[in-house]
Amino acid sequence: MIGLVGSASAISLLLVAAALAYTHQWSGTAGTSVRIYDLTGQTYNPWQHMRAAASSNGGSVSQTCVKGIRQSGTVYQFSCVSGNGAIAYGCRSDAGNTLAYMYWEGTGSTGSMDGKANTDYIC
Amino acid sequence: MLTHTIRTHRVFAALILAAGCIASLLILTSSSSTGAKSVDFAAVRSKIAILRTGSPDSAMASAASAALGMTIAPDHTALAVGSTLSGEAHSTVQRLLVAASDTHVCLVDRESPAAGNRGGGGLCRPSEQALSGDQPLLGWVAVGDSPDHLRFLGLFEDGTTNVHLTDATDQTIDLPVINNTVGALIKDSPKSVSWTDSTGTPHSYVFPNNADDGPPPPAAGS
Repeated sequence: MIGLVGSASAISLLLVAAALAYTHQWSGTAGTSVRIYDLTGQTYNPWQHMRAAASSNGGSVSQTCVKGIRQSGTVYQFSCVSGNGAIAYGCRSDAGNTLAYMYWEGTGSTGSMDGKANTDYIC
Repeated sequence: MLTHTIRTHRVFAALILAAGCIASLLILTSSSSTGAKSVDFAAVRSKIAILRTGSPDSAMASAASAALGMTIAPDHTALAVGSTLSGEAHSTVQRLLVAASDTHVCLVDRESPAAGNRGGGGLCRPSEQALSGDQPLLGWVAVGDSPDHLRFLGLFEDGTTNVHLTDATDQTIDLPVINNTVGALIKDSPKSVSWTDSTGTPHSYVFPNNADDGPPPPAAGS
């Protein structure tokens, strides 16, 4: 009986955790090295996964990065990759509550970026 | 006269039939080559032999698909298990795997399942561009249990040797190439990487200045 109750509690906790997990998706256009912040909802979140991709308007992308910054200013890199058309993603469980942002470097007047952050560790 | 007319009609019919067959063949050839381009990774396979000999890994496919937001089919995963990372600075062992979606080639960094969720990631590029020109597939991802370090990942063409990575402190690290991949723990964003291709030609790539100095973040929201 105790075992059944324990199992039920564990399952309930898992269900609650799954229900609490959430995702932000954001996008923007900016010049090289300019941060594009995730301002789609609550600013600071316990992100464990981030993903980003960039495309240059009139040029090419040499680097794409996605990171989280705490209110204290500490930056946690999730992933940086080189190359045009590259997709960067990374997971970390030590970043705490961060504001997600992304940026690109390369040639071209502006770049269009798409980002995604998840509170689940899904790498 | 009648016989001649019938013969003429037969010749015309044969010609029309032959023309139809040729047209069909042309259409089929065109459509199959277009389709093959997006799923066979011909350009990449010609440069990475290991892509032809991999075995499926459904767990890796599932994780990579979720992390990337694109479908990596089981038969396109674990195409190679490459370099591993371990050492005093890191308490777990990582595996670098080459994977592919229908459109991208990816280098995936995964910890051994027993290590728990401590860090990982990867990168993908369109298959036509994955190893084009003078730039291999390169990235550097989080190390969850070692905040002062990043993991550097690289995917090179067949026959690549002498891979050297220069880090932010100007230290040069020699990286062994295992199944086309390299992996290293670094303290900060890399400065440059050099390598020798299968013909003996040296190459180098200088990473862009990691000028992450954008405007300050906005005030915290609710």
